[in-house]
Amino acid sequence: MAPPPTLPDEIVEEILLRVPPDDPGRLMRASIACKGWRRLVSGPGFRRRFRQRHRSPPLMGLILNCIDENGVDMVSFVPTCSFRPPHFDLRRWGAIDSRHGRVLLLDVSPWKSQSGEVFSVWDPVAGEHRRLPPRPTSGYLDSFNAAVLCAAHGSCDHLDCHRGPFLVVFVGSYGESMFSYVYSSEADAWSASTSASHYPYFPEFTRSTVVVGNALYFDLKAPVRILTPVGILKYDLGTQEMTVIQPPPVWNGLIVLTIAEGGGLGCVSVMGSKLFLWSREAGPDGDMGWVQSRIIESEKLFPGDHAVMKLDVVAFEDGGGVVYVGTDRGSFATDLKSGQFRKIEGVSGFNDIVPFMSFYTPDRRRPEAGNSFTTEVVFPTSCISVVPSGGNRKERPWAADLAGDERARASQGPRIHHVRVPSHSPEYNHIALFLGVTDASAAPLHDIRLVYSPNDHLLEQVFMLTGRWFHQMKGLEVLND
Amino acid sequence: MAAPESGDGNNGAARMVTLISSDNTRFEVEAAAASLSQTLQLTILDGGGGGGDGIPLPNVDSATLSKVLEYCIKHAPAAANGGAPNATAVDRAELERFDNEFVNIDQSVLYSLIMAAHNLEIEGLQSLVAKKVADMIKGKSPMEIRRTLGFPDPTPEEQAEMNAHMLEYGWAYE
Repeated sequence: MAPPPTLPDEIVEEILLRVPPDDPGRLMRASIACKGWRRLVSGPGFRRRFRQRHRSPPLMGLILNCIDENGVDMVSFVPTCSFRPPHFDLRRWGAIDSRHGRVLLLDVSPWKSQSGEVFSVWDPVAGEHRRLPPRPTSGYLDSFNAAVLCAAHGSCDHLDCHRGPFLVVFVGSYGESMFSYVYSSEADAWSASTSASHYPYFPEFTRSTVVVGNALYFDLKAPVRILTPVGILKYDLGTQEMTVIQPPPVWNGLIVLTIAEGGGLGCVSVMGSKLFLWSREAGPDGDMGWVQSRIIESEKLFPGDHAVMKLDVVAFEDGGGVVYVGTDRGSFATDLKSGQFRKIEGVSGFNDIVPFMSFYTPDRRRPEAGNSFTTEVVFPTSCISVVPSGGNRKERPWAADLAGDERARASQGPRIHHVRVPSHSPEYNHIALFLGVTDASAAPLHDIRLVYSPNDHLLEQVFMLTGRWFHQMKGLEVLND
Repeated sequence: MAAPESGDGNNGAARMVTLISSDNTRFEVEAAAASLSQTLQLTILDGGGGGGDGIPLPNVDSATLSKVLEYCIKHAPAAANGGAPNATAVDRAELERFDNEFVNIDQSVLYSLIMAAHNLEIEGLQSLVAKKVADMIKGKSPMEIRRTLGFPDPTPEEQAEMNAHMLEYGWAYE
């Protein structure tokens, strides 16, 4: 019996809703297999039902902080399923947090101390970056940390909010005082929080953060080589007040903050080859305290073998109930409910990783191909010498032009080039990130203007970096001089 | 045909209903099994389908209906327990084994089955067959998915769209 030529939309949806969320490639290929399916799966109804059905976003990959072959700090996307972000090697950035489908990046270029911390929020699924403006005041800090989260933290289920408004909460310590700033993507501005609590031990922030209820928690440790946790900073998202609460009685190694099984604040610590699970609960007298809820043995992971020499909790999937442990045998995802370990390929136990979880369904809300953008970049001529000489002049006429005319340009002052970058080129997002262009679809722009200043040394490294990108760029076009 | 029952169906023996396929074959099943279909449930609650009347199902042929009923008869006891919260692990394993074998069938039968499950609103069967089709397209290219589901070859326009998609989302094809 020949099948009918088309299936009703309801049935197609029934089928495609059952594609596991950690196999986004299957959904992508199915979406194009039949006319009408793409429209169906990229529509808002399917997107919502797919997320509601599967509830927890799957692990899409690990954001790995590493260095490239030239010793330059970079973040790299280590995929754990078929999904690959459009552009995933970002030089001069470090990933410090990820939540609600976004990754918080910190500018780790050598000049960061001059210009204060610069953050960028990366949406790997949409392929978009938003470079945040600098904080209103910057100065010397003993230590700081920051976290990104959906702006509707109280009322959102965080299933599909990665393109919506977000907040970045920055906390810093200097001497005995602590302060916080909040960036709102809607206002595109930082606001200073009033809170400045005193804490006598000059604590340092670790990178561990977690959102529990209406509060954001930051882990603190004692400064310089002592890893003992000395407190947990609670930042109330409603009142923006900060308080420091006691850590669990752990004297060995770092802790990673988690959401406990009961939904409250939890954490995981390490001793020997064991993971200790803690939760903060109300005692009989009503006071909040830490209760050791479980112990997970890692030894069963390596039966009949030598004990692990290194075991650290390195990250927690906010919302996923999974911690990542680094061992000398590799990196393992540990399900806190089942106590099961799963080896993560592509990273070692010594790597600095941030897990990235998100849903991926085909989406028509992408920037239209063909858009490009305009902005000005100031480059110093003093770094012209880093432009690789030779090469194909046709591919990068601007570089050859620059190298040949260095001395003359230095005496002439700023010089302007217009460059057109197609938005579907791999360099588009690198440049968009660098230049702070956030949404090319909202404001289709054209051309880049490159302004070379003889005096400005601030962007020297960026120029080299950008030079690399430009070198790789196909279809680069110098429009005028 | 079994002895006709009284309308209230409470006289000890299980109440039976008759279903009539599109090619006029009559199937007699327990009302509890047929009631897995949301569509039939209302008619049956109203006392329909008993005796010589039967419920005509013009969209379902006899081969498909017999398959559908095989599923319903197997699942009716568990469903009567309200989703079988107190079912033993053995019972659940047996149902799972049955389900796996049940959908291990020819693609065209699967196709009629999914349509029938949809029309009759048999939630468990809809889910089972949809899951099977979702599994069948695993690791397949768009072209292979078309062939698996028995779609005709794509038009040049569709082919061009597929090619463009592959270029844009290379990762989904690795």
